Amino acid sequence: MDPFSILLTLTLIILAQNAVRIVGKSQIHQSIWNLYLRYSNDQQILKLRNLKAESYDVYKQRSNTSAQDEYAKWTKLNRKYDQLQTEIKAVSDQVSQQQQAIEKYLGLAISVTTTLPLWLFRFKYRKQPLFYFPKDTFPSYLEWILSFPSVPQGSIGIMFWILLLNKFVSNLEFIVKTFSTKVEKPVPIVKVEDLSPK
Amino acid sequence: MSELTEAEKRQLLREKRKAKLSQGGGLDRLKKITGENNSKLSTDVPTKEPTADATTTATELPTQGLETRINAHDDPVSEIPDPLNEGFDGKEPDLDQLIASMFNKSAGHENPNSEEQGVPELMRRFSSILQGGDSGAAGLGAEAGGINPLDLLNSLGGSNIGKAQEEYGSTPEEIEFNKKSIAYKKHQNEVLKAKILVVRLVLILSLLFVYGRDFSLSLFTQTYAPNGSSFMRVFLTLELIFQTSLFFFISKNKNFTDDSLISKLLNIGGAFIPATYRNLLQTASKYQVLLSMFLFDLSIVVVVFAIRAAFNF
Repeated sequence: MDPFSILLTLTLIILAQNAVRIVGKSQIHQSIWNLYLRYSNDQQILKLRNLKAESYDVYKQRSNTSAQDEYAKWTKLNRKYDQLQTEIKAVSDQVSQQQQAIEKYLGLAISVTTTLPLWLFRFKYRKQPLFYFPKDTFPSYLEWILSFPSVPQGSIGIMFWILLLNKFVSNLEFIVKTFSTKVEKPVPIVKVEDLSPK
Repeated sequence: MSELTEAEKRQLLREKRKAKLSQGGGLDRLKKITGENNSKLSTDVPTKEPTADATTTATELPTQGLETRINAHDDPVSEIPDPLNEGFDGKEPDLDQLIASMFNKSAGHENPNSEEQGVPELMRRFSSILQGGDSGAAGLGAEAGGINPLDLLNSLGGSNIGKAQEEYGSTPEEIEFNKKSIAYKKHQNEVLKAKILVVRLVLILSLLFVYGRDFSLSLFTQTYAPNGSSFMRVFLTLELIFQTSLFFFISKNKNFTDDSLISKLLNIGGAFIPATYRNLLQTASKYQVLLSMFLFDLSIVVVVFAIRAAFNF
């Protein structure tokens, strides 16, 4: 792999890793699960979807029926609604088990795709310089640190590139988050007794 | 009147105790001692009629006229203190006074006029023991340079309790207000930190623009930079100014280091870390903040160089 491809791949992986951290794994899981629920052809999910639609219809009919004027019809609809709710609960339990299994694999996949390549790159391209600094830009001891452990002095290796890019992204995130968050100054509570004349 | 022998005295004392116990109320006295006299449950032992046992046993003693001496003013038995009744007048015992009196008795001096009596005396003695003080004892603190007992108590969590009360107040409104105040202070610190980061970011980018725009960067070889040494000089000078001013700022504003890993460690386990190491860790947390800031500056330069090297501009 040429230095440009390594640099680009590493950068994308690090950015992805930080994006997962910022958005949150649970949020990503939920979004993917919602998409799966919408477009999946799984029998259980289809059944759940149909049951929910039917339940909604029955609920609407029951709401439009007067319990006093058409008691028999209302009772029948109510019984049907209860039955549907029981069925929905049973199917939901099965689907939630499926959801847990999918989330488990999804979490594993996210971890593997964002962590494992970095370790592989660290090991395989540990002697590959990513790019060179111009001469005399940094003092020699700093150049030595940046090239640690095994790239030529005056260049930067994978280890320090990962460290510094992570630092850069996390600090930018901190700046944006801090300026976008507003915390109101608390106002001290004054008791009524304190205001009364002595 | 003949004097009582030791055996007779002991026998009389035993009889007196037995008589008291047989009259009941022993449990009440025990409760007075343990301070449990607030119980609503009835714990009275059914009282027996005044028994003749005590009298008869006493009269069975071989000494003549002993019964009259028991009630007499110069009764030798009455001088022997009753451990069950001593010091109790039906009131709740004051623990501080009890400890003080116990200590004074055990120390073998009872000077009621001394001002350093009671708990302060106790603390003074602890202090002297720990510091290898006036009694000449080779105390625990002799090697360690002395430990203040109050510090010791504080390090065991005493100060944290007081601190928590001060921080969070006592009423729900005060607790809520103080929580909000802490969150607000924390946010203010974060804003300050973010501002410092922005200033550094802008200055480093300006520096790169002024001195680094003529740099030609490469992915494959090290190139010559006409302004390289000037860039380095200005960069290092800026760093020196940033770090020095930040160090003085952190030294005055301790909350600024709250986010560092070492500060978190200190907050969690600070009570169990000896004072010497605690100070070292506090200093280390300051340097951690400085290092983190320096790495951010370096990362700006490196990221800009990487983009320019990758896309050749």
